[in-house]
Amino acid sequence: MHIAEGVLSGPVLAAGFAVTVVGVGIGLKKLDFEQIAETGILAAAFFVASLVHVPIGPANVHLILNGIVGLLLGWAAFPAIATALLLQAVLFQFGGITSLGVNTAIMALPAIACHYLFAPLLWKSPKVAASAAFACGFMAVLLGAILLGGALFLSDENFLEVATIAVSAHIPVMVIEGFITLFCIGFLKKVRPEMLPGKPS
Amino acid sequence: MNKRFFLLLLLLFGWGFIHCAPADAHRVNVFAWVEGNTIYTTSKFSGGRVAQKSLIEVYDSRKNLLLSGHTDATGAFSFPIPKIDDLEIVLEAGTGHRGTWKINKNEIEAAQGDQPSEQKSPPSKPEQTRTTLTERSKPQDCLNVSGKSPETTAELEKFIEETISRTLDRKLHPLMVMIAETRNPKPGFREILGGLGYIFGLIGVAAYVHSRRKP
Repeated sequence: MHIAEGVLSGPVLAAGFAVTVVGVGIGLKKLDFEQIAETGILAAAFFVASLVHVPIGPANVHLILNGIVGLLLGWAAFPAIATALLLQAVLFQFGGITSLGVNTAIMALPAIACHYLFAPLLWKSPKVAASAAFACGFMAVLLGAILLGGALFLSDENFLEVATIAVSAHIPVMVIEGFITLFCIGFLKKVRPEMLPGKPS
Repeated sequence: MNKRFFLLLLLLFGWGFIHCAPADAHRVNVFAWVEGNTIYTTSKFSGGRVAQKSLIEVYDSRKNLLLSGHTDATGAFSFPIPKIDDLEIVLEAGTGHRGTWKINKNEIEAAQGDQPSEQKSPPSKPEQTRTTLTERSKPQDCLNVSGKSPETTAELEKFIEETISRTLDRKLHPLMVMIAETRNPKPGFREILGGLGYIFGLIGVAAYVHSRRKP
């Protein structure tokens, strides 16, 4: 889901940076001290997740983990994902420096959307909570793939075609991330429920 | 923090390390070289899978599109030299994946020099120089080579230079291909640990800044 250098047009790159700067700003402002360690650890997990290759289907895809990062961090997902992507661009040459803004927006916006959509459901009945956790991992990747299609479309490519390719290539990842999120949330609920957002006191 | 939570994280990172060996897409690499009048390209994802049916575009130094085509099932695509210029070969492997490779004008010219049939450097010229060389090899002439006819000496120098560079090109070519094949950069432990360390360092900085603010 990393867009390389030189693919996108100038305005799209600029818009990506604008969104990312605003998102990172909000994220850092909302980040309180207790959340710093959690943010860092999730940023590290996100950084490593891209190396986990999913060898299913025709395309080369990898884990993204933006769903669980967004679910646990909320707006702090923006700085976490931006940092991890910057390091991926510098160290792995995944994506690129100029496309960093767009790539961050593509992965962080769905993360935050999923936070607002699914975090309130985590403390409902176990079935609802489990479905919400799965849907969170699933939807974050799906929305990311659609945004990827959108970014490429704005730079002169056929939206439907690119989005279809991106979405279909990521279907295995969506399912796997759904299960990862489901497992992690179930685990955290038992072990460290205070890490989950919106815990009724 | 809970021990079990750390164990989970450790497992996740461990999984990442195990899987990073046959890594992934994110990057496509295109490599191109000249042989005679043809430019050959191969395209690969950074994990080693070939980029099939991907668009290749060739641009000159002024960014004009010269030609385009698609890679075959083995990721290969070749085309005749469209122009003697610095060429940029761009691979578009879809959904934002893109790789580039530059071929210098010199490389094209040198490779074309290999071809005797090429109209650019007709074979008559080196042969002429060669006869001058044999003529000049008489001892008395050799003494005043530089003084008598600088033009011929310059030609001779040029001939030697061309021959050497051509031979070197030919000898180095397989080596170059080999280097490019192994050059396929994959993130290693150093990069991964470096990145993780950087992130944990940032946590430290944030904690430090916070502790300074609230004594």
